[in-house]
Amino acid sequence: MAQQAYFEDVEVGQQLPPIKITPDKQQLVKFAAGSGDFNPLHFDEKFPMLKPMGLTENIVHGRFKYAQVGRAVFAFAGYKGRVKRFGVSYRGMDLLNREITVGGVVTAKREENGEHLVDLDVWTEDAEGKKTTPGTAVVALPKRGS
Amino acid sequence: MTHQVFFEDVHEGDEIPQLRKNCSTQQLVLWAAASGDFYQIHYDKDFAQATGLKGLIVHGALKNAFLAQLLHDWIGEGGQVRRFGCSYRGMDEPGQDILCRGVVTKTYTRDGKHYVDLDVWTERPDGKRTSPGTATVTLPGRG
Repeated sequence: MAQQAYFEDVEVGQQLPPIKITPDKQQLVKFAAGSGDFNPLHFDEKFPMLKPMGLTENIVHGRFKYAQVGRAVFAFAGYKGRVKRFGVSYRGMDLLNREITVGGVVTAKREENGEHLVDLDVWTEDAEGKKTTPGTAVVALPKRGS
Repeated sequence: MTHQVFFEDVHEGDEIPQLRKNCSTQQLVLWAAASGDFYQIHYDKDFAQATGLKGLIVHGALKNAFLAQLLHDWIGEGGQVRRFGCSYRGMDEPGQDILCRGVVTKTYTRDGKHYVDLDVWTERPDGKRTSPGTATVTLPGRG
């Protein structure tokens, strides 16, 4: 468990620690099992839909990437923080066995209804630096001594 | 509900209705999900070939389940599977027919119950019996 982040210590522009993952086929099959999304696009390299898309490799579930971004957001919030809002959109495909980097940056700090809120931009990034799963999150953090 | 088979209609040497299966890779992944057997030889071609296999292979336990379906389809709601098992003696591939078959080897009545012993197996298109097994079922009698 990472150290708890406190509202006072967070600065706009601060980056979340990047998470690097290279999903293999077993991981995608397990994600299919866990999520119930058994679309063969994600595990059958001969699936006919891949070719018209110009692909020779399976694509990673969008929700798998959402979950990975979620790991970063929830790690940032820690046990004492709360994730108030979190969403991503699926803007690009990631392929099996390619590295994906999860990242995030603090865009604003504000107080609202007595809560200390931190706005974040979050994303997954492929090896070329394209943000394939951009999103935003709002996290309520504790203040020191509270 | 299909029609009920009765003990009096069954004779040694009878073949029971066949069940034809043909697994898609998706079915193998669904089976992995349901069974918890995530060994990659069942869905990762490169992994399977790296272990020396020709390609993906069907889970043995899935063929075992197909044979159980063969039995249950035949005995209907009035019958019971008392004992059933098979061994894994050959490999099947996804996209290739798996023919599930069974033949009655013995019929007998004991303690008022009507028993039927069977040989069951899955068969590849080349005729190889990949999951031979045996079963004992009970069937209702007429009247």
